[in-house]
Amino acid sequence: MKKILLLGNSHLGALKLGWDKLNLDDKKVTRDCELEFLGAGNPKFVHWRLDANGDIIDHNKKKQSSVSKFCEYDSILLASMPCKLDLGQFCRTKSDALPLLSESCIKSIVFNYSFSYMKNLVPSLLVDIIRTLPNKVVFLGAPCRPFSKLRCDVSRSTGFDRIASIIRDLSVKSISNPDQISFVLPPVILLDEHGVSTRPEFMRSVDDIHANADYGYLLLENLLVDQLGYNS
Amino acid sequence: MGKNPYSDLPKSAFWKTGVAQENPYAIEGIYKKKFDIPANAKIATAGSCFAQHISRHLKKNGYNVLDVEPPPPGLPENLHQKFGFSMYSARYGNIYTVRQLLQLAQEVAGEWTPQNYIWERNGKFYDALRPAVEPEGLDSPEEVIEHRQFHISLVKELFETLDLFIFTLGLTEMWVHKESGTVYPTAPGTLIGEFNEDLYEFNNAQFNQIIGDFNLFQGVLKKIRCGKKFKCLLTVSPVPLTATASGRHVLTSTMYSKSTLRSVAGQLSTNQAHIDYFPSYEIVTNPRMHSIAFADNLRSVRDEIVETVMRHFFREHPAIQKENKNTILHQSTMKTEEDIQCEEAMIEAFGK
Repeated sequence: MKKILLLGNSHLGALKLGWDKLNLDDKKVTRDCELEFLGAGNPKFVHWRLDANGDIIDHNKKKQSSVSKFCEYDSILLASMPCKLDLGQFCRTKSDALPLLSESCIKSIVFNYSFSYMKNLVPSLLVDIIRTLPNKVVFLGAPCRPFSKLRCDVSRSTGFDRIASIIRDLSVKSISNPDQISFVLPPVILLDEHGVSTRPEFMRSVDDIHANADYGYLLLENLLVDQLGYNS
Repeated sequence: MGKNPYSDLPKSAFWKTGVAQENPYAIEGIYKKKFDIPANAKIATAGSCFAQHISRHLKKNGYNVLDVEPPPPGLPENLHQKFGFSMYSARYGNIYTVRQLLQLAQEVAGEWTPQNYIWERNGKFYDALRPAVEPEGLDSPEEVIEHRQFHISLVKELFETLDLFIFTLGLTEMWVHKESGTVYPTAPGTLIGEFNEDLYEFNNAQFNQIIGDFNLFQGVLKKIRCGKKFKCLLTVSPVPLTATASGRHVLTSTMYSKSTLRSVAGQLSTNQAHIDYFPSYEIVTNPRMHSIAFADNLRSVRDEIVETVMRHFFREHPAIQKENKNTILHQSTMKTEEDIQCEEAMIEAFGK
């Protein structure tokens, strides 16, 4: 039995719903793995701290929720912050359009999406966890935005697809040479033909930012069985 | 001594008290602004390398410096300059000569098209008009054209939007494509390209040509802006020439170049009410500094001297004071779409 901690913000919701669904379907992976969810209600994990004895504690709550000895988990999955494929890292501003960028520039971004780059952006709790157990941490990130949510400064018919394909290909290459953190990309089945945006049917219809239970179901099954090999 | 035209002048009017005995790090009266720069003024910067310092310090001091091609958020800061980001208000790289600036504006206005600007090296293709912004080159000439068109569309946005244009005059010497007159920022064969004397020629601009080019530039800019007024602030780069192709000594060539550009800036700012001149050149080359303004190579301006230059600027154009209280209030109440939605997503999953 593998013991897995899922740590995240609102994006943890889809994974929890997906896990519940996997349990309902009595999938084998649910008998091979024990998942524990620890969710922060805000993206910056305000008030959450990693204590000296290895416990994660939410200092904001009167009745503290915590995880003891997080080092004892076989894997720690992080489900917050943008995912490796998120186009926000290439956009002119956080929510602006995708500009025309050279392959060389895209490569510099993709291959620098590593711990050294993230340390300025990632909540301190996650930095501490990554620093303590780099080999056990798997970075999932949030779901890619659906295509309807993307804007592009270049022609969608040619420029966007070309840039998206470069981002996709370089991201796949960069994952095979991880820098401390293991990044995972969402399985292809969850993405549309552009390879960098989530298929609309896997998003919550109400906000188009968070994924739904089906997304969590397929992502966890793919990750735990195919990518981490927790199926024995 | 009887009264004479100099008797009531301030100490700044005399070499002895204004320079020889004056603190070179705080020169009284060396710059008196011609106009205010309002806090909300949209500022565009361009010019030779020294302009980067001005751009950086303006941003640091709260001025609204435009950047129509900002770096992608995922690009580490130490790589911004490698790709020409965050140096100026667009990724046009260094614009050393006024002729380059004029051609850029004419290209934006659709009045002129650069020729022979795609140069090749080791199977990669470069935009010779801004060779440093893609140091590893692009895969095809078509890609260079596409990137240039994209860049020009954003420079158009910049030119339409700006209220104040800060330009640092850098060089008079330039290399020109004989057939079309296209001017390059670097000599063919230096960074990229190949030198062919049948194709390219050297030009060392003279006073009248530069004045004419700058006035033409202003005319094109006005046209792009549909007549909307703007202000200009000129400076002259104090950085000496790396090399000269004029056939003269590099010291005399530097002096020719800088004094010509200084005269151009002087005439433009004296005769046109909307143009101001900021004397960064004089502050750096002040004999009172005994050349210590420069690094050991006697070209690069030392960081502390750049600070000194900018202190003189901000004495006349004070740093923009942020209303911290309001800013913090705004930040604390501002929620992104994700923040607003996130609690609902959590409750749906965990609240059963």
